[in-house]
Amino acid sequence: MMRRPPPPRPKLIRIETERFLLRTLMPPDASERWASWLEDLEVMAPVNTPPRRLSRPDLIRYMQRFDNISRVLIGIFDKNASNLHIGLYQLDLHPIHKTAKFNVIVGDKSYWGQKVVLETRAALLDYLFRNGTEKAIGSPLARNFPAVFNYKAQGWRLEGILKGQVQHMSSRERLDQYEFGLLKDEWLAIRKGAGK
Amino acid sequence: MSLDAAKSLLAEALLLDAGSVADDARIGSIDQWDSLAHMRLLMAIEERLGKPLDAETAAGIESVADVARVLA
Repeated sequence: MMRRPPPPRPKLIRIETERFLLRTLMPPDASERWASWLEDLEVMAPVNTPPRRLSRPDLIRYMQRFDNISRVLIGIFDKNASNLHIGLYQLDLHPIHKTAKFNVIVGDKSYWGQKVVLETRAALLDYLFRNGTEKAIGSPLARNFPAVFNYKAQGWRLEGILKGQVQHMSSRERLDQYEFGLLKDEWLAIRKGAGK
Repeated sequence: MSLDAAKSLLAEALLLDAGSVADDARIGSIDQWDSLAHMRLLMAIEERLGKPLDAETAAGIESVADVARVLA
């Protein structure tokens, strides 16, 4: 009789880049600062999510939806500003297909245009591809120009345009979405090219 | 739109002098071409066109030559 493999255990992530610390978010990270991003239309509109007021207990309940196995919530902290929390990644990891779906919000607008996503996502891609992921996926709204730029600038492939894929959070207009993909070998080739 | 006019539009979005944008400028070749500059560029193109860019066209804008082509 075959023995079942043990169930996967939650993994806490901690990665440092040149300017940032990426680590699994924990209940003490629930803050007024984080909550303020969620009620800021400029932050939430690009991800088509209506702004809303969340309390610290709400944020803790939200964190509990992430098992840190297949759903992972990672904070972005600025090492040069006493580890100030500036944004977060939500990752959906598929254990069978070995895919990682990326969502990111840089909540502190003073960091917009500072290449935060390029630097931190590169580190996450390195980590995930080293740990079993074989394909990364990103699905920004077509009108989220900054996010689209970041996928292109990082070398992700545009795999398709999903016409009218989602409904606008308030106008109910149908919105187009892009599907970007990046295979492990493609990323390794990009890393190798960058090192030349 | 001529290549020179496209370079000028790109330079404005990148907050650079037009002279500092090369004929073959593209994403990755200019440090100032970041996510916010890209947003400014696409919005400036939409303003010139007088309508929103469709997803196919917006996805294809990666270089100064693309800007000239879209605004031709």
